[in-house]
Amino acid sequence: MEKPRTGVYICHCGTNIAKMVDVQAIAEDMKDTVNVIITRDYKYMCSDPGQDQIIKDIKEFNLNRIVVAACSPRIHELTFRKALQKAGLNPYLFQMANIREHVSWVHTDRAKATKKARALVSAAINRVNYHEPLIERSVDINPATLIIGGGISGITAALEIADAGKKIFLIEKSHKLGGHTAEIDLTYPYFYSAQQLIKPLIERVKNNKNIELFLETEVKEISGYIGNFETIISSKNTDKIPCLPAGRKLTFGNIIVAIGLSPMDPSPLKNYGYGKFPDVITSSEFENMLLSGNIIKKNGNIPENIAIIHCVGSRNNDYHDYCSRICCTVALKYANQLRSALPKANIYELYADMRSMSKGCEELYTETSRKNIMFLMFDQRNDLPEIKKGNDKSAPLIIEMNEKLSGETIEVPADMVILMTAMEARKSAKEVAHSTGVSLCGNHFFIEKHPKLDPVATTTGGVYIVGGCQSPKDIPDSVSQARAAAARILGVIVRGTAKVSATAAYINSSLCCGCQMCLSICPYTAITYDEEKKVSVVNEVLCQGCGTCVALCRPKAINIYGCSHIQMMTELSALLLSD
Amino acid sequence: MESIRKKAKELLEKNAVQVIIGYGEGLDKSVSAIFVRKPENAETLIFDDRCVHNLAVYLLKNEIKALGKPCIIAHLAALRTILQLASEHQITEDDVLVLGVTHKGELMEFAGFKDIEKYIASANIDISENEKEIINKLEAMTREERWQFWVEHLSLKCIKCYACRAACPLCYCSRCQVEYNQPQWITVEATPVGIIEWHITRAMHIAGRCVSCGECYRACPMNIPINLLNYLTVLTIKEKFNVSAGTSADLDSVMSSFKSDDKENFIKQS
Amino acid sequence: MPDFQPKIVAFVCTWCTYAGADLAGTSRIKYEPNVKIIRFPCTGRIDFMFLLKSFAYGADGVIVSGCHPNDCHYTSGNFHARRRWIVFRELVDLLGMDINRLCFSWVSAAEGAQWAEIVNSFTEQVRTLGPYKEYRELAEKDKK
Repeated sequence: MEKPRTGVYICHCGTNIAKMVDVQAIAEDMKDTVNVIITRDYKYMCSDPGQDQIIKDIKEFNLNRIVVAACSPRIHELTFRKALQKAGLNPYLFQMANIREHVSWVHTDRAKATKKARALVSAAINRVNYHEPLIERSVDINPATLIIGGGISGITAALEIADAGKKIFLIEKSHKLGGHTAEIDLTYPYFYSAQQLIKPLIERVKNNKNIELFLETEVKEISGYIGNFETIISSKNTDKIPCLPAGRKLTFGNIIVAIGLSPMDPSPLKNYGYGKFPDVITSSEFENMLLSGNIIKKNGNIPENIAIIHCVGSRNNDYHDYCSRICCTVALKYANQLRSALPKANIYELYADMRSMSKGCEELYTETSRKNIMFLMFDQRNDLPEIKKGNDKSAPLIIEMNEKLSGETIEVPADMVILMTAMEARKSAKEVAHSTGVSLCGNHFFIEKHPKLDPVATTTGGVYIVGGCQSPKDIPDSVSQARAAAARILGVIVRGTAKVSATAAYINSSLCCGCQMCLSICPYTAITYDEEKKVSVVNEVLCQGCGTCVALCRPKAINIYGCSHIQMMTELSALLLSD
Repeated sequence: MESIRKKAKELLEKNAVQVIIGYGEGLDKSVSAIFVRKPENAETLIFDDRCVHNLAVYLLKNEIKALGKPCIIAHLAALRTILQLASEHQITEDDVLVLGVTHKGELMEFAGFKDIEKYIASANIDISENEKEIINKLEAMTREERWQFWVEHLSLKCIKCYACRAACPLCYCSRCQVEYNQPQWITVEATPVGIIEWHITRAMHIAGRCVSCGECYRACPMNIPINLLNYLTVLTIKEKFNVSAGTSADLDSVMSSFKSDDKENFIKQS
Repeated sequence: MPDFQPKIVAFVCTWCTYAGADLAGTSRIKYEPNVKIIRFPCTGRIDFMFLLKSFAYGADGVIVSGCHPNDCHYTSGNFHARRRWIVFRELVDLLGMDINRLCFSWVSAAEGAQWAEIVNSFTEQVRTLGPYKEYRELAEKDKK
């Protein structure tokens, strides 16, 4: 290997880094480090001029290692690797130091922040000496796709991909397709019939020859990696067509998780008396009523005083601290539908904030406010309404609340109360997350690859998340995500191959003692034993580069590209000994 | 003792094995490991209270393997070693004929590894009460006192002769981690911190595999109780993961397996 | 020792804790500047020698942090790491090394605030313990 010639670039990131880290001083200090040929500091390294400077320096100074101290490598490692490639240098001869997210944005003392940044940069410069050129590996893509969940998201994605001529396995846990959309009467804000939206889609799914549908089926273990997954599905019901008998093996190249959400059971919120008062119902139960065409109380009579309470279980530190996004507009929808059905009824909207934001929804709010609906605001954080037994026949329930805008304590009479319950993650989310290898956040929503720039991909190659299971959302957003994931997958299928991590483990067979401990530790069964040579061997394609075997191996026969023994030891010693 | 000599002679005469690995008289009334290849030399095999050494260490030595199929006189720790080596794919049933010997000197013939497993299941494989007490004493000290103890008895005493490594039957790597300089994990020479690093490394590498034979302590020319470090890992692994090394030829390696409910009380999480 | 600035190195996995630390950054949560991070693909990759060597190189404290059990990006790396830490910790405790200078944690990509909290509380803990003099004194003997 030739002697390293390193270029070091310290980014100001405007003032994001420069205001808390003395970038010029660091660039100056690093000039005398062994193997450093040139150092620069610049306003925006990730910009075109910034990258061009790197490319120019590589060619002019014959650089063969680059260090950039800037934001998190999770943001721009790829950007700079591409710049190296443009300059004709292997993209892995590169190391970043994170002096923004881990330094300038989190510390307040300039001297201390600069000292820390200096150590991080020194560690990167020392470590990069031991970087080697790496080849990115490619794997073939099985053109079939597995979609878990047959609601509107799953159906939309399935049709998008199947219509393009590619195979879909659509797995649905319940006995029918359509998810929550199939349980809705009219959609907001224009009151289209949900049934007329979803039913044709379901028909198209059933008639599409590229879609193989499995109802009452769950996915358990999925093995493999992007382009090459497999699973064995089992079905509860083996009589019904098109269910198939237990134990059928499916192979596919990509996965879409579309399992949606469940409405929360509001029983634990005692102040609302769900389960205690028969006419306190959930939004799902009311939706059912609308579908059946009869808005009636449990005793069969028509209600006269209907209250709709927002934020039941949402934005609540004891239950779900997030906002369930759609309930405000759905509540407005209910107010409108109630007003049409019951022109004389008293309708109350008890809300915390009015969050009716999607296209056409603010207009719906305006329209609703003109329909003689009483809007009463409560304090979601400190003062929830309480439903009590009333004395009046027409008001068997009294909702006691502190009306926030007027500051007065009032009693709202009601004979039917609709609770806008939170939407929460499915109970099966944990299992699905485990089998697909995706992380869940604290609320058990699936974690996207990047919250701003990549909301449908995940950090697991080949696995996408769409619809409610990623976060609560309405039909237009679910459909957008479904189409986005479908388009991404079709792109991958068209390319035919996907790049997998260049960092794979490898074994020096002369050092291997044949104990086979590495075989049992590999989560991908990427290591096998050569009976003849009596040594272990790594399958580079299966290896995902976790490095667990590398740390385990006693004679250090196993090493790993991109995170080798000497790279890590060098980084550690330079980090601690540099100051 | 007689039965051992008789059996050994028989095996060699039949050429069922080409070498008997056993105990013989050493210098100055000490015991030595001997490698009997001729039937007439079977008389030199002994077995008495002095015969505590773990002969299994010789099973993987190339010089012994070159002699042909061995028969080994194996006490409890050596039997456990054989099973542990088998679970690590270092030996198979066909590679060695095992003659077990109880502490009273009674001979046990085993049909195969399954037989050995049965015997070990009925035996007491705990660390001796004596040694447990020393560990308890150490644990009862303050941290500073413990550090002082090990600095005095280990850090400033060990001469890095690596006899402990040579004597341990589970240290069979052809090249040891200490023999690297890219990176230099552990300094080769006898420096105080380098010594701590070496012994921690060896204890971690032997963790889950140690059969508490005590060879490392016996081999140490400086008389340092380094076996206590290994025994600590034996106790921890028994307590936390409920596994003991050398109990089965099919044992899942402890440090490359896990239970999702492995218990600990020190990992911070919300 | 109010002026003592502990030197702490953190070994973290890129998928969870590193991302969590990034989140703390984007959320501008402020914390002590004594912890320097080294990024690994997985906690399974973290060799116990790194922890030991940290003290020899002058660290006063070491943090090791990764994904919560069942959330490992590589499914089981953190389970193997956990077993390793359980044994390592007992071993070095018997030797009389100061296990209060070792901090192990599970911090997910969504837990920026928790990362800041761990950094702050551990920095304080190590500050109270003081510099790891006895190990360094022994290391000084190495150089002679």
